[in-house]
Amino acid sequence: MNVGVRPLLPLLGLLVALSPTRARACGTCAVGDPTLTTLGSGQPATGRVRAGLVARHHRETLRAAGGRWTLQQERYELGLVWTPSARWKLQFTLPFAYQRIGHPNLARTRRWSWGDVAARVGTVLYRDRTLGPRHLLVGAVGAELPTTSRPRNVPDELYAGSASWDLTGGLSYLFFASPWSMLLGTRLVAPLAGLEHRPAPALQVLGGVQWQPLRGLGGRLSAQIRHEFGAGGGSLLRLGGGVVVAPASGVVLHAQLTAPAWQTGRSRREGFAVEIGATVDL
Amino acid sequence: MTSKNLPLVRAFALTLAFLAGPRCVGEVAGIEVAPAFRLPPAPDLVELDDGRPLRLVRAELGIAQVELVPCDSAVADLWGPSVARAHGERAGGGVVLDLIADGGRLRTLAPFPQPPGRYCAARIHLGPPEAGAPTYLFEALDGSTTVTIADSGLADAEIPFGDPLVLTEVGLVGLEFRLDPWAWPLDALDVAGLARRLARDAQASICVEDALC
Repeated sequence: MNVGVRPLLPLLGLLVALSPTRARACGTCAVGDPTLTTLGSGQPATGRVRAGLVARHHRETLRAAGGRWTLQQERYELGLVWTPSARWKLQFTLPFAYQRIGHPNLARTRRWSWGDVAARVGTVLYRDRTLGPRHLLVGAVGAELPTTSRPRNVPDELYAGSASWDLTGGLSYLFFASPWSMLLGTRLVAPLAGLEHRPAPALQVLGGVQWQPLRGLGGRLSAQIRHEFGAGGGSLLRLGGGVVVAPASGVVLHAQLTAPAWQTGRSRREGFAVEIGATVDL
Repeated sequence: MTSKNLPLVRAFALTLAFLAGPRCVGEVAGIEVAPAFRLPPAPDLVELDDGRPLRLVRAELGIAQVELVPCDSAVADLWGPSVARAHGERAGGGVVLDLIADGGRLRTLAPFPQPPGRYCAARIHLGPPEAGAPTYLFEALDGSTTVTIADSGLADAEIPFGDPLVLTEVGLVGLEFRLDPWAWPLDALDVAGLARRLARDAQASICVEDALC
C-alpha cells in the first residue's frame, strides 16, 4: 500500500488537469443562499456535485512503548459530495498522507500512506424552507474502510487512519442568516468488533461560526472536542480560526489554523495544525 | 463547473500532483544495541559437586530478553516503559544459548532500538525460550545414565555498568557479556542462583563499545 500511493496521485492530478470540461452551474445560486461553504457543510440541492481537496499539516508526539515518538504529517483528503435530491447527500473521501515519523531511538521513517477511505450517507431531517433554508438538521451514517497501511515498527496511534472497519454516525445543525452562519455537529466513530486491530470508539463535537461581510470573503472561528474512550483515551479541545474565499463562482478556498487548547488523559499530544482546502461545484 | 473555474480547477489539480509528487521515503536507522554473549569452549567433561566427571551432551540457557536500565528511572517512568528490549529471534519466545555449539565464539542477538539517554545497567531476563521449555537444561552422561539438570523458573540478572553508558548519537552499539558457565556449580543452582552467577561473571567482563567488542 505504501508503495502504491505515490505513482497514482500525480497521475490522477494530471488527468484532472488535462481533461476537458463544460460550464454548468453556480454553487450558491443553486441553494438560494450566499453563504460560502466548504465540502460537506453545504446545503443540499438536487443534482449538486462538489469536489474538494483539503491539505492539513500537523505535528504530534506520542508516549508509547519504547519512549517518545514524533509525527509530522501532511494529510490530504480528496472528497466528493453528491446530493441526488434536496434531501439526500452522499459523500466519499479518499485520504492519504505523507508522514515523517521520529522513533524513540532517533530512527526516522518517511512514508506515504493511504488513510481510511470513507463513505457517508446523509439525510435532511429538518429544513425550514426549500430554497435558502435558515435551519437545517442533517443526520448521517457511514463507514470507514481499513485501507490505511500498517507498518509493523510504528505504533497504531501514528497510522494515517484507524486501520479498522468503523461505523460512523452523526448529527449536524446548520444555521444560515447571511452574513452569519453556524455549524454544530456531533460524530461518533465506532470500530467494529472481531478485528485484530480495534481502536476505541471516539466522539467528536464540532462548533463553528462564520461571518461573511463580503460576497466572496468570510472569516470563521471553530472549536472541536474529541473524546476517545477506552484505555489510553482522553479528550482534546482544539480552537481555530480561518478565512474562506470565493475567487470565482463555484469555487471556495479556505485556510484555517487550529491549536490545542486543552488535552487530557491521552498518550498523544497534538500541536498546531494548518489547513488549506478548495471546494469546487461541478 | 463553469468555464471560468476551469483554470482554477486545473491549477488545483496540478497542485495536487505537485503535493503528491516525489518526496523522500524510506527509513534511517537510529540508536540500536546489539547484545552478544561470548562463551568459552565447552569442556568434554564436567564435574558435579560430588566430583563425578560426566560427559557433557547438552547445555542450553534461555535468554528471554535483554534490556538497558536508565540511570534516572524517575525520568524514565515519565515515558512509561522506556527500556527497549531485545527479543530473541524465535517467534513467541527468546533466544537459546547453546553453551556447547556457541562455545568459543560470539553469539550476537538481534539489535534492539534504544532511546538516547544514560544507562547504568543491563538486565538479562532468564526464562524459557518457548512455552513448556526449561530456562536452562544440562544433560550429561554418567556411564550409560543420563543426568539431567533443568529448571523452568524466571530470574533477572542485573549487570551494573562501571560508568554510565551514554547514548546520544545514532549508531549500533555492541554490548558484550562474557560468561563462564563451566565454573558454575551446575547441580547446586536454581534459576535465581544461576542469574546471580551470570551477573557476577558478566559484570566482571562487560564490554561496551560503538562496535562489537
